[in-house]
Amino acid sequence: MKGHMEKRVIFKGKWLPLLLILPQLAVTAVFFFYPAGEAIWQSLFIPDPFGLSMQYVGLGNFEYLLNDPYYRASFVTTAVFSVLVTLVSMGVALFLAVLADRLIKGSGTYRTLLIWPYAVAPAVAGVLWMFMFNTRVGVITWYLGQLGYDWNHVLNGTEAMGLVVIASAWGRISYNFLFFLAGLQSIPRSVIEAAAIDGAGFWTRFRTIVFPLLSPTTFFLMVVNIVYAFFETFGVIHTITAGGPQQSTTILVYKVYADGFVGQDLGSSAAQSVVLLVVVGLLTVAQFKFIERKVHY
Amino acid sequence: MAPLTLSSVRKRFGDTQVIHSVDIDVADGEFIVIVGPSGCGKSTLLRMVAGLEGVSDGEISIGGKRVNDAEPMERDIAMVFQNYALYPHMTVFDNMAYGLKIAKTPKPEIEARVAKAARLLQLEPYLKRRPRELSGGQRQRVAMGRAIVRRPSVFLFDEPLSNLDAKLRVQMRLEIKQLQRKLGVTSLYVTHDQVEAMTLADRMIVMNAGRAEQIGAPLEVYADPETEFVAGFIGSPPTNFIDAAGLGGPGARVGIRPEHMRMADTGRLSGHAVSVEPLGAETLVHVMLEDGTALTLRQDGAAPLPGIGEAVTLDWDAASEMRFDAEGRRMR
Amino acid sequence: MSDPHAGMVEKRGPSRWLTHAGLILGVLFIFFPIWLAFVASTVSQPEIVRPPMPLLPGDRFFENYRDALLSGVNAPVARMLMNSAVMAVGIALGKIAISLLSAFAIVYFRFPLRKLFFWLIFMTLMLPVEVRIVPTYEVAANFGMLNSYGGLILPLVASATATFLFRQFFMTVPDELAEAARVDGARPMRFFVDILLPMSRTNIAALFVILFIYGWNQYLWPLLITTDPEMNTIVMGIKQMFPSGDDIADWPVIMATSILAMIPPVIVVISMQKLFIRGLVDSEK
Repeated sequence: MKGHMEKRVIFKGKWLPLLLILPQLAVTAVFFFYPAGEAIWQSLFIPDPFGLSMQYVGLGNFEYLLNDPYYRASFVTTAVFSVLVTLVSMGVALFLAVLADRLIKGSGTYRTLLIWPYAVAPAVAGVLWMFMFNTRVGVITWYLGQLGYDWNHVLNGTEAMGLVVIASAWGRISYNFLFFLAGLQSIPRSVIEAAAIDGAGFWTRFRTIVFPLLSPTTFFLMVVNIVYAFFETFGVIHTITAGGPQQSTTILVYKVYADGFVGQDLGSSAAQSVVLLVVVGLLTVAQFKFIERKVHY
Repeated sequence: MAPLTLSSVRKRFGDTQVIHSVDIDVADGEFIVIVGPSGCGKSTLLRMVAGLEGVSDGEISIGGKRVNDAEPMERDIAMVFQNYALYPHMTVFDNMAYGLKIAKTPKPEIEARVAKAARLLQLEPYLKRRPRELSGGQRQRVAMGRAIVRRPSVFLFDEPLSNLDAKLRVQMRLEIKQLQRKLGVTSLYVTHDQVEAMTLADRMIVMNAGRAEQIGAPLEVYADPETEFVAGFIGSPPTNFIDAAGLGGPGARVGIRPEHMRMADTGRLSGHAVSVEPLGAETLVHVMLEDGTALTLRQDGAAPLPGIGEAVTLDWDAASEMRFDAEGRRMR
Repeated sequence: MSDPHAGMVEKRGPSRWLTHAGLILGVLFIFFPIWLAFVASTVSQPEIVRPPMPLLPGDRFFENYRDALLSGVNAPVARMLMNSAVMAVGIALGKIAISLLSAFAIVYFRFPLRKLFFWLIFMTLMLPVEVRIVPTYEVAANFGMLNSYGGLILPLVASATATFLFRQFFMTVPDELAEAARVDGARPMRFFVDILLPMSRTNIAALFVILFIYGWNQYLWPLLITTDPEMNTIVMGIKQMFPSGDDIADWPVIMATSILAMIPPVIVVISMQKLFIRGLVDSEK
């Protein structure tokens, strides 16, 4: 047989398959390619103050963006935010997965209890955490106050960042937990037992055997979590801090929204969209590298 | 029930020709087996008859009607696939009835036909089961049943027994043969197993590298192979081939069947016994000639055996020699 | 030993209790915010605004949920729940339908531009809504889709992930099955409906779970496309319930709404846990 990735030609016909693929192509063209093209096109213009005409500025919007301290700050904010979200959610998830994997019985029960937050929308997660840390009514704020710590994420940028990171990571723990647990359970017991016979203790086994064997899962989750932190945490930011204080939690996606819809600066927003397109492209390539690697396994 | 004719049929995939001008005339009700090693094009040929592969050149006709461009369903054929290809989510009944339903056969008639086929194949207790609840042999029967209920002019079998264990294979072989006799449907059967070919075929076609090397009744092909390939492929253990230069006479190579060789006090070749396989009624003796050629003798189980490593001399009747030229064609 | 997990590596005694303790700590961390929201949804406004709020449920469960469901703040939450349900089911079914059809075309046919279309669909993996919000919003606005279910659903319906999942699955369906169907006289669509769809049942169900949650939890898109409170989805509607300025939020109703917003997806995830995990793992492959 030739080619393993292709079926033998099974059905004849040209018009039927085109008809079948048409709905997806149409939706894709109208809501994906046209807007993406439009974003690229708009990124080359700025509207006049009255919004009556557009003036071609070439790469002017991009130049402006790159020189805009707020945009550069937003880049840094996004980087810090995604690294923290990824580390916290993966760290907690790995810890819990390793524990659950050690159980003979009951890991299913814990799994059922731990997958809840996957179903909780980021925006709802944001509301829950904002409620706990609310400056006026928050329970944790109040207890912190009793301990002598004055929590105020509305004014303190670091606290705001901490709060959106925890709220975002919280919602992501289930997802990472499930993948880590599946990864751990697919490691053959015999390998670990062999190491135990060789005298390796739990921590040594984890460091030298379990973690390396888990690396494909870890790498995959890293990419997926960064994508999550970049694009799917809008709801968390919007509900808790709305990008503030002083833009200290304005990640790139939030800025596209804020400049495009709130600030009505279409040229800049479009240019930011294009930059994000490039970022997603790079992340997708990274993801592919992973898929390719997995194929070789 | 109809004759099937292939004339000058060829198949190309891109630049590679996989079937080189095959001509076959299958008479009405005849059981034809196409046998050959894997990759010889036998399955492709069958799939061309089924209409699952296009015909690059030549003509295929069923019942005197050219079917080159007809869809499989318009060809009045039914096919039994190697992996049975049963629909996993349908019951045995639905699997057999599916083609009839598509053809809009009236329901009472579908039920009657399926019931009849199920009785014939002893599938009645299983009609409500799904394929995964059946044994290999039962699945095989369902695949046959699906073919039978269609009442086609031609049955096509694509290595239908290759997924069964040895014992079941022998049993199903007999059943297929009896069934075909009973129904009298023209059949084309593809296999790589020469025992299946020998036992099932009215006539067999030995294929090699996209060519039909020989067509004939099984015993006729066995006794009188047209080419060196056929002589080597048909028969187990295979024909012994000896370089003609060492023996004298015409041709490049001489073929002698194992049962035609014997140990003698004086003979034409000498070597030593390498191993002995007693099978009961007969015994296979493996001999190595001085030049390294390995030969096999088939002798009566009661005949005396040489010791391992013992020198032996081999002889045969001149009439049993088959001589082949340098291209592997039989010299008469 | 019969249990493959049992063995010498498994620790007994105190370390086992430590394991449980760690996991219980994790579960508490996961549940505390949800618990607190639940408690807040069962007490009165004064109990919340005078911190610390109680940590055990109060007696206003029915009042608060009734208030939320029937009147809400801007729109009755029952209405928002229905909008969310329509959106989530619409997105899930829409994605599954168009992906099944296009994957069928790509796998079982050879037609002009097949490779190009394949890559075009594939590239949409790289274009989350968040990246192209302004122009996508303009397209939807031009189609008159603001404040409509069409506007909520259609732009989110194209999905390379689902197409790929089905493509992968179709590739594993033996060729002989399609050939047997052809010999049986089935035309392509008949094969699709009679054989391929029933065989894809589990995949479809698993994907439905994932896509339902995806659709239910959408935030940014409904925020842009719906300005009429009657068309708000529940997830985006919560934020709209907070007053602007210094007014005090109606916490019990807001928290009741938050709980209501997570109940449907939680039920789906927990009750179809096996399918959900399978869908999750499949869709990321």
